[in-house]
Amino acid sequence: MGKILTVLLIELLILIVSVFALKIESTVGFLLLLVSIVFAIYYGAKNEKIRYRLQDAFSSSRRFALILGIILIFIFPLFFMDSPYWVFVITIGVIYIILAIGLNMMLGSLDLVNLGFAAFFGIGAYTVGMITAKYGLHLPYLIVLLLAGIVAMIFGLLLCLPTMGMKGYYFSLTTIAFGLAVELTINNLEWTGGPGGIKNIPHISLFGLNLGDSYTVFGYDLPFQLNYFYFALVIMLLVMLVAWLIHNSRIGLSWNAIKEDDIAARAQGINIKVYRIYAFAIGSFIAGVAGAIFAPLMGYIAPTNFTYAHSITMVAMVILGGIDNIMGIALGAFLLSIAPEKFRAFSDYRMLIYALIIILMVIYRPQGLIPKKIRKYDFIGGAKDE
Amino acid sequence: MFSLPYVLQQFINAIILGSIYALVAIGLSMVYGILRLINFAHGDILMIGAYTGLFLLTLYKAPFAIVLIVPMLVGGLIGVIVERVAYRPLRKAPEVALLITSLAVSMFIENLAIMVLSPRPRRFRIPSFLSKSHFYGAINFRNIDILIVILTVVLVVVLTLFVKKTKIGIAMRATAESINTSYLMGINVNNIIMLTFAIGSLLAGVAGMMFASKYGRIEPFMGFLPGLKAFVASVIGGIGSLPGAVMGGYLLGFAEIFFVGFLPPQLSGYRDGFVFLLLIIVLLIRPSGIFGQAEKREV
Repeated sequence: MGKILTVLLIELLILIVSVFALKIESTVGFLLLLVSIVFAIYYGAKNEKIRYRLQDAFSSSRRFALILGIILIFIFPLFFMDSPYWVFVITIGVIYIILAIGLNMMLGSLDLVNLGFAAFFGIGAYTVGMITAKYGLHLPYLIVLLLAGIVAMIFGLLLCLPTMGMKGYYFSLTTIAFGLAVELTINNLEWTGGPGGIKNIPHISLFGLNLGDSYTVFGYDLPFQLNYFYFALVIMLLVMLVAWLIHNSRIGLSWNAIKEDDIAARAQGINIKVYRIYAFAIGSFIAGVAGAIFAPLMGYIAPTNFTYAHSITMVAMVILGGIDNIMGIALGAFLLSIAPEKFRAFSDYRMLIYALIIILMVIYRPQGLIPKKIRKYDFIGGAKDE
Repeated sequence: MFSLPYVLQQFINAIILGSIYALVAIGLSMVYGILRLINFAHGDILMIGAYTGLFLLTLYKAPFAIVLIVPMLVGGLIGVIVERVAYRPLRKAPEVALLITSLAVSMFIENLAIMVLSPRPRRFRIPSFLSKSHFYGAINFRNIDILIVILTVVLVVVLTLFVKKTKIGIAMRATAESINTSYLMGINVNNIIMLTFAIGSLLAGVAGMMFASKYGRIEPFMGFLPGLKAFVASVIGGIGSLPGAVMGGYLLGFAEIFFVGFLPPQLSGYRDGFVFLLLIIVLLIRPSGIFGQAEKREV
């Protein structure tokens, strides 16, 4: 019983702190809160006793923790009913969590630093924009979503094949080139609207509901952004589930084996090419799906939404949160997508701060805020994370 | 189809552009040779060199000789600082950590420059005796172009002699061969690495001056593309090799100018895209470059 109480208290604390963090008006107050959160996590993770108690509590009442967590996330935006803008910002945060998890398939699992990931995001968004706004096709949204993922995946494979033998710098520089090429092409082509982008992308309509309408529930008028939040949240949970399943499957294990030592992995009979293709296909598909949520939410997309700076931001999210740890990545992505809104006064220096975060993290805490779990194995059965 | 003077003019342009690429590529390639690190911040040192030159010219009206030397020194200094602060703590870290750090350092410098210097592009005007043009029929070039080519040749020759003949140069080559062995031989590896960064950044600083004098316009992000292209150049030549970097720089200069000069003008918007296409082709056909040796890996 005590364990369940611990879980309940911790999760409620997280909810209250995050609501409080977003509600604080003063930049200094927010900064202080942010620093204390980071320190609390850091020292909590360092102190064996606290860490053990928390781990014990969470691992023995896993299902409860998970369900409670999901319920609390669903409640979370209801605290911001008075300002639709914040609901919008949180929704963008959720989209970035999806992106960061997709990027992690390459960056975290395989050590392939993809610096052109925003291109897949853009390709997904543009696919939706072209289908719904430019050609005005009335396909069911879920099919459009799937198409966006598939088109992004095709481009992912296009990038994967020529970079098959590349590692490290060669790979990263080629992905920069790929990202720039995609950006350059959508910027130059008249077909994609050029620098003006695509305007008037219709809202998502799903099972007869239009996500662009604001619905009234129990006498409350809910802002339409809330619909998008819930939709993005469902997709995010699905993506997390898939990522978790893959991480614990043979695919995830093989990825990590290749990351540690590709020659040894090959000697174990792992077909490196096939697993690289998996990583690209799944990662870019997820990015395409994120783009498919982004485009109708914004209503207007342009090449400036999908630049090199965005790719770097995604890399920073994964590094800050914790490479190859889904919870960590979610934390990093959420922090970095909310922070610029809080630091409006400093928004010009956003990239400067991101750069500093990356440098400090790599030097002092290369495993990220929440480090990845070490795989443990029993004699019988498959992979299991403890 | 193309007249002889036109071809000659493109030839001259290619040599000038190639010289700049060669100077930037040398530093990148030397650092890679020793640390297996691509210094993304290398292009930004080029930018710093250009800005230093600009301030010397406009604020202090310094003579041009000083305007050439001071940016070199400033570039070298920044290179040493970057190495000391960001890369040295990571000597034993995996390659990916180095890669990400170097990316972040580059971003940091660029955005710091935006903060301090404003993102607005500035005009870079060189003294009139350097911008004087020579006309030979349809061919024309300026004094600064001659200076760029001569300076590049001089710097490359001096550097080659330094690396081949002096004791420090031999120590540098030994360190590139194997850090651990050089350490056992009594070489102060940290100093050698610092010196390599200093020399590479020195060349980047002066290349920045040349770049600015040639295009007459500078901005905080100006180093990004030359940095990437220098990487492509050193891959073409064989990364880690000094003559390879020079050759690669000139080859890339020629490839780029000829792509713009001799193909239909509608394609010229894709000039930078073409450079990366070249990179992919080289990596597919001969990943070790023209002068490079295939990297062996011990298991």
